Amino acid sequence: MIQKKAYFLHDLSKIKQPTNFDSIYVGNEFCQFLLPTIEQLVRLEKKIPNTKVTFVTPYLTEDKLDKISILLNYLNNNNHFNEIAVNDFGVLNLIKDKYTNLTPIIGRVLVHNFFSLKKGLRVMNIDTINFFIKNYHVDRFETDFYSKNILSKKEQSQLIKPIKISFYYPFRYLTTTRRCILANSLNKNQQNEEIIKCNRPCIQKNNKLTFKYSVIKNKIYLNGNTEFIKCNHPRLKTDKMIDRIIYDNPFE
Amino acid sequence: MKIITGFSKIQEISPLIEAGAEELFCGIIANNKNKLYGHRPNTRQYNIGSIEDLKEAIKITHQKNKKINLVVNEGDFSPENIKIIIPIIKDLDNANIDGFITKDLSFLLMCQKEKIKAHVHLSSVAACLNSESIKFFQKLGIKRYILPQQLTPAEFKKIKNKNKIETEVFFHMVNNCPNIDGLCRFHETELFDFEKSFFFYICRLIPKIEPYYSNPIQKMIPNQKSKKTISMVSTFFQHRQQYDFLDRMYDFFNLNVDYIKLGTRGFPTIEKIKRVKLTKNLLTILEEKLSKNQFKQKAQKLIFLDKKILYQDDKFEI
Repeated sequence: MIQKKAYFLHDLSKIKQPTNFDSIYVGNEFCQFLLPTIEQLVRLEKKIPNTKVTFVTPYLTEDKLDKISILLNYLNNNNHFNEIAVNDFGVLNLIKDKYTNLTPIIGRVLVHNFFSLKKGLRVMNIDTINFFIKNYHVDRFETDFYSKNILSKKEQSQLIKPIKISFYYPFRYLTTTRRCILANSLNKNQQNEEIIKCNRPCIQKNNKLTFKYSVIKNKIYLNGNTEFIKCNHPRLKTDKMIDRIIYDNPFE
Repeated sequence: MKIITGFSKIQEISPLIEAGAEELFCGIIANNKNKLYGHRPNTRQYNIGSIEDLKEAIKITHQKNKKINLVVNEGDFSPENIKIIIPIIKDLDNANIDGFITKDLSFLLMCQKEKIKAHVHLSSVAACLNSESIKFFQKLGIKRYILPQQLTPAEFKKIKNKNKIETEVFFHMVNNCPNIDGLCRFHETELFDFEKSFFFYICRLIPKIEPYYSNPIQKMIPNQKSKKTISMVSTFFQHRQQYDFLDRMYDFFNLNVDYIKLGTRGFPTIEKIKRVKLTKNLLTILEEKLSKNQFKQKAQKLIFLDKKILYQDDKFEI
């Protein structure tokens, strides 16, 4: 199986035809304030009409359900965006009930609900996956945590339809917060409240930071409300379950 | 608003109910025979010892006309483990357990398939922050929504207008998660030593902060803007506050949340009882329909009289 490469485009003001990549990702899985506008999506479509695009949605509060519905409605009537990576069960529910032209895939935040720990390895539950293939038409799961034998050959044979796995690199997310470390820090009046309006300081290069905790060996990378560590597994490129590698570097 | 409290010993049931608890919950020591893991450490401090003890607890609680739920919100619900779990869950269902608390999709699907009559409550660690997500979980059979710690009263109000599900909110006096606990991988990663107690508090440590450099040359150029950001982020970490629990209690009470839950099951018995009594007294003040400030003043006096509780919170609640 040939692994395809995808590029996560964070800055929609710099749209370029990607070279060396088969498709692009837009959107955000951690922050609802970083969702693109329809105007940006129209521009994207015009600039790179022949490139497949996966739209990534974050976990959402009630306030942003309306915005995501508008975006989903646009995407539902547009063939350019072939997949929606969902990171909130509410979005999955909306797609199933209202936006049936869209193909949902399970994003890397939500995917943890499909894994179980077994002898220290992360494995997927076949019965649960089959339920989601059958009822939600999901056929792709995305992760940033490498684990050998996510599905054994025997388990793969029990799937009602084959599934595909994508892998994010070079960063793996550790944690995410609603009290955004960056936006709250820079807003003296709102330091201990959930962000309601955001002027998106995280997109500025000067605001990309690294952390070093005394009890953790790895350096931690902060992008807005989410902390990451670096990940790159030697088996990544040869693992037959992984058919797509997503290059996602929000620090570029 | 009714009080739910955790327990870990059968002997705690009667005094907790006498103190004012309307409903109880517990975890069970998980092992290879039952595979019923919860979100808290798998020790006797937090969990009841066996299925037999749990059945006894169900009997005692029902004799007192109260309800009892089991926490099964973390663990390995692989198909082979589900096979082990099914007869145990059916057995507890036949023993008339009132509810199971979970976030696990496989567990929810199993309960539907096996027609388990006990209610299933959606754990706060499911990180369910909007009404559509609740609808999704209702299709999987949940009957009660336990609010995530990171959901604000204003957000809950909007959810409540769209969905009339039974609700429950955690009452944490000191230690609530700064991160979204259901989406946080700090506890799962191989980076940490699971045996060390500070592991649980890692998100409350203050890190050393530096700018991100994509290449070594950047590192050599002083950047005043980054310096300013670092200084502000450092200050934020030093003053990162907990939620104001009295504010939240007042708001959620007035939003008619059905249950208030005390996450105290790892506490010593005497502390659990104290906390139920305190909560009951706070609810009595809330019944007086005071303004928020008046409530907080009265409540703070009450807590001041029992100041010891706040100090012990840090020690016990993780």
